Amino acid sequence: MRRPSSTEALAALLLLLPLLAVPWAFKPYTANVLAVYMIYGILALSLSLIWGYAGIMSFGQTAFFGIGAYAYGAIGLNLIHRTHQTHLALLGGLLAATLLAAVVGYFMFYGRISDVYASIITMALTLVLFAFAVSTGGDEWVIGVARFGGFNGMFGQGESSQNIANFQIPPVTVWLPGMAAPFPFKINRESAAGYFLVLGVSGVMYVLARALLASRLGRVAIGIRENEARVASLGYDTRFYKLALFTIAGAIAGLAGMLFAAWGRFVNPDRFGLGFAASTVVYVLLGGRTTLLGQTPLDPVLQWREQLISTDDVTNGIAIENPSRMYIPDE
Amino acid sequence: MSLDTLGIVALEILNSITILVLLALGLALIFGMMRIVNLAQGEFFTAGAFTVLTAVRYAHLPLWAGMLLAPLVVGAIGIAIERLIIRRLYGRPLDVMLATWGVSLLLIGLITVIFGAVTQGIPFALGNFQVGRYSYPEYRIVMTSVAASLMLGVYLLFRYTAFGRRARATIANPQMASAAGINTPRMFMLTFGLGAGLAGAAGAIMAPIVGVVPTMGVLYIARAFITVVVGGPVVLLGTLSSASVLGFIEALISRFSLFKIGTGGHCAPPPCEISIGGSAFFGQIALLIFAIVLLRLLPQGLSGFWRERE
Repeated sequence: MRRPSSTEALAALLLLLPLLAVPWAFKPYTANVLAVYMIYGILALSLSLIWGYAGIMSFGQTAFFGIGAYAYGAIGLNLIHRTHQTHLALLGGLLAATLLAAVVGYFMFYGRISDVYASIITMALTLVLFAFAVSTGGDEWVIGVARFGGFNGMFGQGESSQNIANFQIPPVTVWLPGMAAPFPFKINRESAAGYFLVLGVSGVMYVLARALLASRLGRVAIGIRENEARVASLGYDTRFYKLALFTIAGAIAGLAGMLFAAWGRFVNPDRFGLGFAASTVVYVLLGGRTTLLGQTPLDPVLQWREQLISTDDVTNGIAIENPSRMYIPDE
Repeated sequence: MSLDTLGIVALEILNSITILVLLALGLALIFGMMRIVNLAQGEFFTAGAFTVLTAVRYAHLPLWAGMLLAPLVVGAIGIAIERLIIRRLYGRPLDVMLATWGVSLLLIGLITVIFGAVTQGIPFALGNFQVGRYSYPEYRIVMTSVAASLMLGVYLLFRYTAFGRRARATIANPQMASAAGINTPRMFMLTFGLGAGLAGAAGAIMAPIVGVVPTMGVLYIARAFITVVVGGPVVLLGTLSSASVLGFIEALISRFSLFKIGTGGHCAPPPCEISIGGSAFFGQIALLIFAIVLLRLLPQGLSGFWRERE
């Protein structure tokens, strides 16, 4: 296997240093937009992990992203007013994505569903979740104060909804014992904490993915990609290794989804849609399936292109689709 | 359960099966036989529906004429796409997937530019008939008979005609077929065109009962793929049997509420509760779950399972 070389470590550092300076060098808008690109980068990294290294092409990696986002939103909206932090929401979102990936992965890999069928099952999964999320427009689709909202996306209701800030999904908020007040990770004129959070998570996920691939799990996964029958005949239970890597990738995608919901304070069914699923595949393809580092810098370029000639406007006729374009500065 | 309820449930099951057969038949050729993951299949369906809309609304043709026209128009679109794009990508499954996704976006964009992003309806003149206390649309019976004839027609075409033999030979072993004097590129083109045309026919037949909107294809593509995958290697009969099993599950879950969950929201009138089962998208979710579990038990799909037992 290709060991992460010193060149790559250098490239990672060269990438990181300018990104660290962004909040001071540019307006909050730039940091805000770069943050969502990095969030998409984390999603792309999760796909790159299973596709590039285990050869499992998951067309519906966005299913885990969306589940993470919706679960974070539902729990966060309910608990933020009581506990003033989002620890449980983060845990819940991660758990939801991990569980979904584990269950779907179990049925796929233990049923020995191969290549293109795995792509189709995951695609069907994300499209069915899309159909589900779209059909939740009615009054009865609430969890506590969190309304699913159908096409319009998730928002809060009840007394607290008089104030627009309470009406939206909360940003990642931490209140550990010993802290005087809860600390929200926002991106605005006063604070770039949300930006550094996303940057930090990107970095940690990159290092984590590298470590994972250097471990026994990663080496067996690469063996499976090259020749599954041979790995199996050497006595490895390939189903288990595929399931493990798929579950971890699902969890990472879920994490990206939670960061997305917390960043835009918003999530709508389009995160499950075919367009988002396919663009994720395109990012990974263009970034290089096996260069984990490739995902992060390329993403901004593609996203910027997408903002210039947005296909979403043609299909939906609404500009709300891409939340970075309806950016309203946070107070 | 009284007799008329039983009758209406049976009719709804039949209707679900019909819709799955219509959605999956074209894909059974394109994906089941040719192994092309065609993400533009949903847009072929949409194009069929819009052909009917254009014929009825703007050219003032009768409905049946529009429906006959749709498979021809969409088949021609399919042949053009095969010649221009897919022909260059045989043996590269992933590239085909992304290219057809591009085609899908292009078609959605084109249709939106021409017709606008609004939902339009197609009026039709059939009424309802009575099943005991219930009334049921006659048009659904027409749909079932059309779906059955299309299925039978495709089966006979591939089983008994010279075209069918050549197409099957081409798909089984292109080099051998080519050596035996079959024009294989032409066979691929025609099979793809036929698959597209069948999707167009499905869109045309379903156009009067659904809202015709440029993005309608996305709602159907997942179910079409699932049906073909569950069908397995004996493509046509497999698709028919998986459509029957999945349609049965979908219709039952869409009709009957299994249980209710109170949500404590603010509803008018209260109380707020979600009924699990009893609406169309729960049927879809049940269909997906059932398909995934079925594939765990029968990895080769339904028809692969019969084949093993023989």
